[in-house]
Amino acid sequence: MIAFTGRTEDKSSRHMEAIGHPTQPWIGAPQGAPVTEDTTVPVTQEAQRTAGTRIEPGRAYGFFTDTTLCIGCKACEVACKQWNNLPAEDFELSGDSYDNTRELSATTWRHVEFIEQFDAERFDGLEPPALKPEALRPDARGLRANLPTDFEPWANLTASEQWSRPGQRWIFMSDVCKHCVDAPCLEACPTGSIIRTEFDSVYVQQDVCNGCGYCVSACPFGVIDVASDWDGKAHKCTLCYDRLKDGLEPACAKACPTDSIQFGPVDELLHRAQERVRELRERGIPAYLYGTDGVMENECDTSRLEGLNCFFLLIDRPEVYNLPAVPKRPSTNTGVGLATSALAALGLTAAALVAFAGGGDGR
Amino acid sequence: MTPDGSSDTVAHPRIAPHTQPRIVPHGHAAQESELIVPAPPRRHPRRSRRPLANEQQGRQPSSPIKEATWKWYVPIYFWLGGIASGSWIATTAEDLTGENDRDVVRAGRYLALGTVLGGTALLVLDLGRRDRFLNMLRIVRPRSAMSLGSWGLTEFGMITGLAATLQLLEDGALGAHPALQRLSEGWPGRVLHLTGLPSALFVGGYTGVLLASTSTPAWAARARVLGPLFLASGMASGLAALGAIVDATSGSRPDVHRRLARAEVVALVAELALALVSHARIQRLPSVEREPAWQRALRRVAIGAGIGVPLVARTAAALTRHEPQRHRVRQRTARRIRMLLGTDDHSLFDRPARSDLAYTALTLAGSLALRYLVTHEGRRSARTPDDTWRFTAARGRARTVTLDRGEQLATERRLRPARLRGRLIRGQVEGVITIVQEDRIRVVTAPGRGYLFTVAKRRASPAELERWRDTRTPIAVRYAGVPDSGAIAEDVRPI
Repeated sequence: MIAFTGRTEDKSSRHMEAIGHPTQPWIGAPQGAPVTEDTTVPVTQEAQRTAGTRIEPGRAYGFFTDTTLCIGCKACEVACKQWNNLPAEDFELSGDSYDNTRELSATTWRHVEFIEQFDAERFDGLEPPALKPEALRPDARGLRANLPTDFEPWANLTASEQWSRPGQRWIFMSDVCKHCVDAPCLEACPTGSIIRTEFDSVYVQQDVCNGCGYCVSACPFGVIDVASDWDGKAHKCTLCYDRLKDGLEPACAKACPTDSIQFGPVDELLHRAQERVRELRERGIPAYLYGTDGVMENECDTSRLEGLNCFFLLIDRPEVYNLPAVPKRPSTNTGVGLATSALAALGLTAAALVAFAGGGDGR
Repeated sequence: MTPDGSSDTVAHPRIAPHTQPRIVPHGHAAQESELIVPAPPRRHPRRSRRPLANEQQGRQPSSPIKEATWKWYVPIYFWLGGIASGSWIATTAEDLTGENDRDVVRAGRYLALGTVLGGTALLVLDLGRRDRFLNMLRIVRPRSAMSLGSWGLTEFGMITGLAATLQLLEDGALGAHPALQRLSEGWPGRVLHLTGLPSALFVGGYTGVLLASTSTPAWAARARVLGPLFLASGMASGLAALGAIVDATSGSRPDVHRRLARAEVVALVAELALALVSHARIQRLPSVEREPAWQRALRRVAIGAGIGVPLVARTAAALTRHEPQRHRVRQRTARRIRMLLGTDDHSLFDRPARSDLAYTALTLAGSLALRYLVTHEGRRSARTPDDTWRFTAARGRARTVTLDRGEQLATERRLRPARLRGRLIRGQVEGVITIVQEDRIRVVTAPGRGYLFTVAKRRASPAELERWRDTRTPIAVRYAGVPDSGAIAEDVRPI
């Protein structure tokens, strides 16, 4: 279908303008059929094929990261580094974990967190209680009747029961900038370098940032950082702003082989995430969402940031994933602090005026 | 590494030397290991963290927040800004209610300009891109303490510049004109002082607010205290520095000293009280509980020697009505020395008591130490994950929605289970009533998790509740608050 937009093809006139000829605005349609721009049948975007969504300005986009699907392959980290031309980190082994990336930084915008839950206290109350030798001695019938009855041996549990009981396990979470709805970094930025884009993501304009570092201290998730040994500016995930503008989903989401990272409009993702939570809970896995405003579980509350555009499905306490349960909004302290400072200023000024008024007795 | 590129450690031939793998030792086993490759300088030297005493073993928790990127320039700037603020307050007070002593005003104006310029230079040096410092003035953002501070500092800088210009005119930079002197001494100077006063006070206090408006627990946890603390400390150090400069440039001025000492006593008392409150606000943070001995010692010295000692001395100076004894002794000594030297030059020994300078130095050092301490506490706090966990914990609420088996939430049909606005959780559970006691009920859900509720008035009568209990009628409870610790069942009805 071709929609008549009322405007005729004006490429030629633009061309005339460009080469310096005065142009004549056409009034009404010229002779013959009007050549119109087809605005109703958009070009298919790549994101429609790879993420099943069309990327349009004015809509909020984000990630839904399902930690139960992550296998820790780090494809997202690599894809992010590649697409964004990020320099390599120092080749450094953490020495106490398989996670050698360790944290997000100015040059690492995706980080697959390895949560290695292999410590002994995780079995507290979950493993069979320490058996006394007599408990294992067979009774007259040759049965181990002396076994305590108030525990279920780990092996007797179904897989879902094992999931619901935190035992030894290896969890992965691909961490990223949360693109908070009310972003503390954006609020802190004194240069206006950090902006909100037409896709509702939070973006650092590299040509404006002067590397003051206030966003680094403001971020409640430790995401943004200043590349002090690179270009001195603040960097973080851009939600692949350049790709979104061209109708491509972000590189990490596209690279994710298990769809642990899903890209899409936040409202659609939220719906999908709630479905997933329901499905997991039916299987006995205590899944919940972190970063969705209004859906508060496990005492998580991101409502001070009005929710996160990039939210997560978790199966353990948020702190396990290095996420604060109730992230604060630093800018709320500004008003309070300035108010008490103003009171102190009044008091001290009054005191100084009085102190100086007494003259110098004994001059 | 030798100049020909060979290394004394085994190097991978295909990997550039500076990217050779190295093992960062953690834990006892690693410390005894021989596999430790000598480490090149860390990428972020400021972030290299020594393990705390209780986390020697196992995986090092990486901090959920980032440490401030600011270098040493910033605490020094805080200190200089405080001195500028304090000297401006003193200058204004001297002009308005004091004697309008030109020595004091001159010293105050120049001191304010010098410290503001020095501080601003340090701030520019601290930027990652120094050439873009003017970008700070692209926008005004009231929610950003940094943005407000940039504008406040700019305004104060311009006013101190004007004041210093006025002072230059008064001092005869363009020749001595009585008109110029009147301009500087009279109401134009006074108007300038008053105009600059709000921005001076702002520059003195906002630095504390700047720290407080971050996600660093040790700073954000005392949002109300840091601004006033920095302001009071800045005022004390500004007054002390001003007194020393007046002494150095115009000889001993007991009258000026008494005025300054009275104001400084007030500032020091405020600083002392606020420093104690400020510490009390964070002493329960894990990073402070596990602080190294030097940090504790520095705090004690900063408060005791940097605030307490000058406070006692200035109080004595403010209360003394005549020249102190030591001064007379000094004068006698001076007379003898003059006699020995055979000179009559009185100005030779007409210098302030040395103890006065010592108190000034203590006040200034204490103020600097306090700012360094606060900055450092923030650094340690940002490196200590437990600080953030405590600071961002769901306060006053037990973790009711836990992850044990009883929380197989699907069976409870809690699709939007706990809604949290401010501190109130709302949710719904379905189950049967097992206990009724007046208006309190216990509801057990299908998986066996129990909840205690207080039933809101007129939602269900005790008789109804007891009937549902006896018949084990499945009921749905809509509640607000934390189950088991004071949740109100706003609605109870059979399904």
